[in-house]
Amino acid sequence: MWTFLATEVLFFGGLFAGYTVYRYLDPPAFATGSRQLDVTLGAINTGVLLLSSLTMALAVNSAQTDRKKQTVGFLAATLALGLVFLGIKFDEYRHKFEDRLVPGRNFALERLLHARSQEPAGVVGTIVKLGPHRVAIERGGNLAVFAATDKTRVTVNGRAAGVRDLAVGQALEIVAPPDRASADSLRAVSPRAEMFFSFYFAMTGFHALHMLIGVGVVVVVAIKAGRGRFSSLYYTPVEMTGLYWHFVDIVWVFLFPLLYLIDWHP
Amino acid sequence: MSTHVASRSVYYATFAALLILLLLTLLAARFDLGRLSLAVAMLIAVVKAALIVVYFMHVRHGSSLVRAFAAAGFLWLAILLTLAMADYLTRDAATETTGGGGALREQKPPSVSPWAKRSAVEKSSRVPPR
Repeated sequence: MWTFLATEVLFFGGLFAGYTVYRYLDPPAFATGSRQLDVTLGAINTGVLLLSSLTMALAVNSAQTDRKKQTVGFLAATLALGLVFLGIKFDEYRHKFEDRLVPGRNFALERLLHARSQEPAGVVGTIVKLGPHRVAIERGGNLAVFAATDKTRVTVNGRAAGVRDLAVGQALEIVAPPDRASADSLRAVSPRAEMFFSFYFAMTGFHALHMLIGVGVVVVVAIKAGRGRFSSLYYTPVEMTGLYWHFVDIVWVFLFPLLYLIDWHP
Repeated sequence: MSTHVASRSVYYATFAALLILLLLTLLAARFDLGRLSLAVAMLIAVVKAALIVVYFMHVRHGSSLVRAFAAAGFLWLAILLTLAMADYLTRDAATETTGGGGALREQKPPSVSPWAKRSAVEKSSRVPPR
C-alpha cells in the first residue's frame, strides 16, 4: 500500500512541480487568480476533510478492537463527510463556471474584474449643497466637502471618482472608475491568470477524483464490515482504505494554502 | 500492517492539533509577511502532513520497511522540486543578457481603491462651522 502511495505522491508531485515553476515565473497572475477563490468554503472543506480523517482513524481503531458496530458507524461518518466535501467542491466549481473562470475560449476574468470595479463602492452620504466646483454631503450629523469636477465626478484623495448624477437631496453614491493604469494591468494579467485556473482545476479535479474513488471504496468496506468480514485478526482492507483516505487528506492540506491563500485580504 | 493499537486519545489530540494548525495558517495568511508568507504556509502544511502520516497512518509504530517507503515518495518529490527549481532560480544569473525566467515578473499594481483613507479626507475638508 505504501508503494502505491509513493507513486501517488509522485503523481500529484508532477502537478505541484508544474505549479511551483509557473507560480515562480508569474507571481502577480497567481495572486490575482487566487483572490477569485472562496477562502471560507476552502477552509470549511479543509476542516471537513480533517474531521473525516479522524473518523477514518477511529474506524480502523474500532476494527482493530473488534467493535463491529462502531467500525460501520465511523465508516459511515467518513463517507458522509467525504460527500459534504464533494458537495461544497461542486458548488465552488459551479460558481467558477458561472463567472466564466474556466480556462478556454470563454475565460473572462478581465470582464469579471472590470465589472466588479464598476460596482457602486457605496453611499457616502446625502448631498445637502451643490456648488459649481464643490459638493457638500452629510452623513451621521457630519458634513464633508468634496471637490467636484463635473456632475459625474468628484475628487477624493487626489483621484477622480465617478458618482451618479449629482443633485441636492440625493445620495452621493460612488461608482469607482477603473483608472487607466489598473485597466491596463487587468488586461495584461487576465490571460496570464488563466494558467492559475488551469492548475486550480487540474489539481482540485484530480483530488476530487481521488475523493470519489475513496468514497466508493469506503462504501464497499463499510458493507463488508457490516457483514462481519473483519476482526482484530483480519482488518487489512479497513486499514488500507484508511491509508488511502489520509493520503488524499494530505494532498488537500497542501492544496488549500497554495491555491486559496496566496494573497488573501478578507 | 501495524499490529499496535493506539489509544483513541492520540487520535483526538492529533485532530485538535490539526485544527489549531488550520487556524494558524489562516491567521498567518491574513498578515502580509512578504516572501515569508509562502514559507510559513508550507511549514504549517508540512507539520500537518507529518502529524497525519505519523499518527493517523501509524508510521510511528510501523516497520522499518513501511517507514522507508513512506519516506521514499517524499524524498523523490523533494528531488523533483529541487532540480526543477535549481534550473529556474538560476536562469537570471546564467543568461543575464537574454532575461530568463525572471523576465515575466512584474510589479504588483498599486491598490486602486481611493477609499482607503476616506475618513482622513473628510476630516481635512470638513465645512467650517459658521
